Amino acid sequence: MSDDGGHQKTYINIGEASAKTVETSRNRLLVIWMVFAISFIVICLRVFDLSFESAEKIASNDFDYDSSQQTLRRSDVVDRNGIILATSLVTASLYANPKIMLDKPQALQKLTEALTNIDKDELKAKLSSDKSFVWIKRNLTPSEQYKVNTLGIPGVYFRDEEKRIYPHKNLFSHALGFVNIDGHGIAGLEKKFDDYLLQDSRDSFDSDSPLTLSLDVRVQNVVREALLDSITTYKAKGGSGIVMDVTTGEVIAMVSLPDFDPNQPTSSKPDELFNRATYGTYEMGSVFKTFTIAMGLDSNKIQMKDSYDVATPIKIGGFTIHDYHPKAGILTIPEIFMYSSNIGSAKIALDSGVQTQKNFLKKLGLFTELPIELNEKAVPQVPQVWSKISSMTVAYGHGIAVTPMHIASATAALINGGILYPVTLLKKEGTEIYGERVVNTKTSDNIRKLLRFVVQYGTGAKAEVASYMVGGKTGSADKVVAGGYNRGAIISSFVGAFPMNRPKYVVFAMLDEPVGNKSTSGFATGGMIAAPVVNKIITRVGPMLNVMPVNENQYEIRKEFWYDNGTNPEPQLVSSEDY
Amino acid sequence: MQRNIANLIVVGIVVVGLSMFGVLQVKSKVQNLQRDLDEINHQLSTDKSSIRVLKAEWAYLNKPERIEKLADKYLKMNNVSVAQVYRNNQVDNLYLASIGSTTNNNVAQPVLKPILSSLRRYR
Repeated sequence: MSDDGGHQKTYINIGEASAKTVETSRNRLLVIWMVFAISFIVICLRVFDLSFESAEKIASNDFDYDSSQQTLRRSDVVDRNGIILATSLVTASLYANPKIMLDKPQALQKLTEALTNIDKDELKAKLSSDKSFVWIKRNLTPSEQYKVNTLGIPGVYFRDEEKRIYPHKNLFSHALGFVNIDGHGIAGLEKKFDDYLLQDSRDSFDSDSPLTLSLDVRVQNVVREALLDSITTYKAKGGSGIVMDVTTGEVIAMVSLPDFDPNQPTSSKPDELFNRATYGTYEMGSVFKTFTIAMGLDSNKIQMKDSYDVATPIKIGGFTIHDYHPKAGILTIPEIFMYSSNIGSAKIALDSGVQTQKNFLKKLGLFTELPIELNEKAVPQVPQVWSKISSMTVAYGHGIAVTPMHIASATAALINGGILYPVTLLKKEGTEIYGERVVNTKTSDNIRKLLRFVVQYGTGAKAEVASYMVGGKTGSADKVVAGGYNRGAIISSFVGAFPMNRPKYVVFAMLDEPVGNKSTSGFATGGMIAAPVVNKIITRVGPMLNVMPVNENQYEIRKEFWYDNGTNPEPQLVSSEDY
Repeated sequence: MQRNIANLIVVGIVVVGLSMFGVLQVKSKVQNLQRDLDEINHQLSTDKSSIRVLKAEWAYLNKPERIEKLADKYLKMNNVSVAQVYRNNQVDNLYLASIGSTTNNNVAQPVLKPILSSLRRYR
């Protein structure tokens, strides 16, 4: 386009019309070129944009790398020492899309061979449905999963699911309860704390914040073994055992027998699912006398030195109150308690008055359900009309039905200095606990003394464990049947505590319809059947729970627990015994 | 004029091309890192699952019932009895008694033997 180099520019005359055409084409070319250029730039920008945007998107991505792993969401439950009681594991569940299955009869055949416990007809019905999703089997074992994988059936898939595992099987069945196949709590603590266990599903899927219970695996096991032993020996229908910390209201062990395996709740009978410790109400019999005497002492209606004539049975309104261990003549308060006199207790109740009795038992929490963290808890059955007769029968534990946990909690309040703490299954260590004063410390001191006398001199002798200063009260009550009492069937119980100079634990044992044998001379009373269970429990759990043996020869203890019956000499300070 | 425009465009295309190349490089590096991260996270969660399984198994193997059976079979030991529980200061007294000191003569010798032999060994 330059005109140097001597070349002559040549012009072709194309005429005016042609020149116009060329001009138009040029313009058109320019337009097309510009369109391409702009598109090119736009594409460039878009590429930039996409690069940056997707990078940002990745950065803000929630790391949804493997959603199946996120199904782990239910927190663990651990005992007071951090031992796992319930945990969740990922297992594979098998499902099918029948719409895209090719050879259904063959698939059916192969699957029934590979899987255990599967109903062929049911599976056939499922596979021939026109749904696009049917469960074949939930929570496969690893070997089943492997087998199904090797079959390579099209239209059959795995989905990772969560399975609740209870490694201790039956040991905590009633406390923990169980979950349904979708991982929701159905009973026990699993139900009560369903929301808590499911919360923060993402953050806590490695379970850094488990639910810590007040229960102790070792103690629970001892209680269960001792109770099971006794149930087998005395052919009882069932039983319940409780260990409770009297200074906090924490339940250290809670056993109800028969029990079930929460790993397979569907295969358990209703009787096994029933929690006798908190849901069963029983007329407890003589263990109630503790409350009657505490009421008398606390309301100043009786003093420890008082005595009652128990020689003749009380006849009132066509009803006679007898003594099971008859003693002639006049008994002091400790004697009434030690020999478990129904007549004496009835008279104390009469002297105290109906209203005092009602108020006192109400204060001890025996009229309402317990604050324990379970849904399976019962409201006690109390007399509708509180007449003089009912007042007298309630005095020795008849005509009022409460749960074993009620007895443990009320007894704990009477011996710990007089404070009723709310019963709990959660570990309270390190938190402040608020209780309610129900009796004064003097009453509490006297009750401790009386409970010790029962074991030392009275009906509870079989509960004694050397150097643990066990105290307690026996109870044997005829079972209520339609329209009266069944004299052949009894509830045999013992509520004990140790060490009585400074009680730390209440231990309760109850057997439902035990049958006496030769070793008990045919008796099935609380002192014969339930007291030895408590003895066994205390012997084994005492050292476990770091309870120090008590030197009963210490002057202070001898003085405090002096049974002043006129013949026992008053304790004297002897220096060599008081180290 | 047209020449300048053409040059500008060429330069522009080169710049755009280079930066595109750069961005793609960064992006692919990020993607690789992302893949590594995913893998590590996956590994982490698999390991956590395995740990949970192992913990559950550990709890199962430590069932008091089972430990009791094993202890019966292999250890031939009795349950701890109340008589074997001592306070710290009592243990000191027991030790003194064992080495012939007479600071405390309330301690009965036969009870001491098993405890003292172990004390001598580990003290």
